[in-house]
Amino acid sequence: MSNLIFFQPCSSSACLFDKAITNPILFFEISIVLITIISLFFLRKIQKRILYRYFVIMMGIFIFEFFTAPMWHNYRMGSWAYVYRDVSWILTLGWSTLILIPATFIDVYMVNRKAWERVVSYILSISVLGLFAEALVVNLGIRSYAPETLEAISGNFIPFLNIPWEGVYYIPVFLALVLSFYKYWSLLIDKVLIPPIKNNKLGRNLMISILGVFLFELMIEPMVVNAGLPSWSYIYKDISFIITGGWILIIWLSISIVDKIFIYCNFKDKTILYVLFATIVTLPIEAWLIVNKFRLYGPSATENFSGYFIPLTTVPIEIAFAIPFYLVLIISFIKYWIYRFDIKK
Amino acid sequence: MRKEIVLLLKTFVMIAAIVFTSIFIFYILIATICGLFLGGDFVGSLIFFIPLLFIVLIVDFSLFRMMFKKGTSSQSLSSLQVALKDYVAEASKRGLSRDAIIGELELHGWKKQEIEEAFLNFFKKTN
Repeated sequence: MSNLIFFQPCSSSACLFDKAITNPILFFEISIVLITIISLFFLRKIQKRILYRYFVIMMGIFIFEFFTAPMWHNYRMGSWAYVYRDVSWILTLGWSTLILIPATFIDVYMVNRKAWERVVSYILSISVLGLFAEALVVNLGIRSYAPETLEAISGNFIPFLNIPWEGVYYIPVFLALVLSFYKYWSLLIDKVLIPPIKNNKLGRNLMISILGVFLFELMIEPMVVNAGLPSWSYIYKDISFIITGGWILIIWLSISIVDKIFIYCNFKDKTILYVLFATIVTLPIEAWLIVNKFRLYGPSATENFSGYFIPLTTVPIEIAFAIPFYLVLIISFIKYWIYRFDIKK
Repeated sequence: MRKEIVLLLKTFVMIAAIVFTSIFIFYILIATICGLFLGGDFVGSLIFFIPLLFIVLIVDFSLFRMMFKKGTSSQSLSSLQVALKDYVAEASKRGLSRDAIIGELELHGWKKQEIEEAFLNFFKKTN
């Protein structure tokens, strides 16, 4: 209780890090802001509602950055550049612009191409740009990796770029998630008429859920350790199919139940319901797993916690936010691909 | 029975939404206290958390609207019939031909009779 009344200002390294900006970083930040303004100015001439699109991508990036914050550090950007711990709005702007430009060009100029050709084009073009962008922030001294992340990677770096080889996996997966989030919400921006589906293909939807959750779990694996589970349940490092399988089942069931019972609800309402249903079930399970030491958050994640708990529990309050954030990204990914397969019929 | 389950689910979701919003407001209060009075690192985060609070409130508002919206029972239509009728109404508003609507819905597993019924329900409503 005393912890609740007498707040301790954040004194961990999650808050007290080097914020002093260098000249190259200042130049980098000004360039990001200028490129963003210029891009938005020109892109609005070829694509409608560009600010809405930009906002959606920004939200996707921010959500991702918020709950994966313990995995990487962003230092030396000047105190004005930070919005939460070492999460920087300037990097959010940069990543959003980097995604919006190729995505808009592909949407506008490859509109008659097959869907899979466009998807490959999105992922390839944005991943290549993403790798260079990551190399730039690493070499400028902004980006570094948390000890848990460094421990999880092989230690081999891409020559000249100076970023881990795992970036070749992390960056496309991160981009695939954010891009799917953007494409999913674009259905609302473009006012796409989505026909109601009478019989959902549950097996296919489960496969998409497995793919989405597993790809993502692999990526955020350094943040949390799954401990104390039967050894046969571990499929890769500490990823246990009991826990990951549970998340997949919850997400898939939430989507299936809402699609079945609330079929008459509109796009926005249904999305809210997917996330809420999944959160309501996931949150107490995650809390139970944390309390019983099946889920152990690494030191970097623990340092990020504010020290406040979900009322009546000993679960850090950040978990209450990380779960819906995680779910909204992953559900957007799953629902977007379900939609793509449905309309392909 | 189905209606009772839906009502139960809706109530469950509403309670969860209210609890979650309360936690969120609690967190923002802490962030405010820390940022303004205790020199914590949350000043900047308010820029994000206050808009996020609005998002949460919009979500709650949508949920309340959903709960108190004239349900399917008032029109004696099932959820499926309401979904179908709404789609027919929206597609017609956008100028899609009757044949195009039927073709599209048949692709997604609907029987012609169900679609014709949806048209009927839609016209009943507009008249």
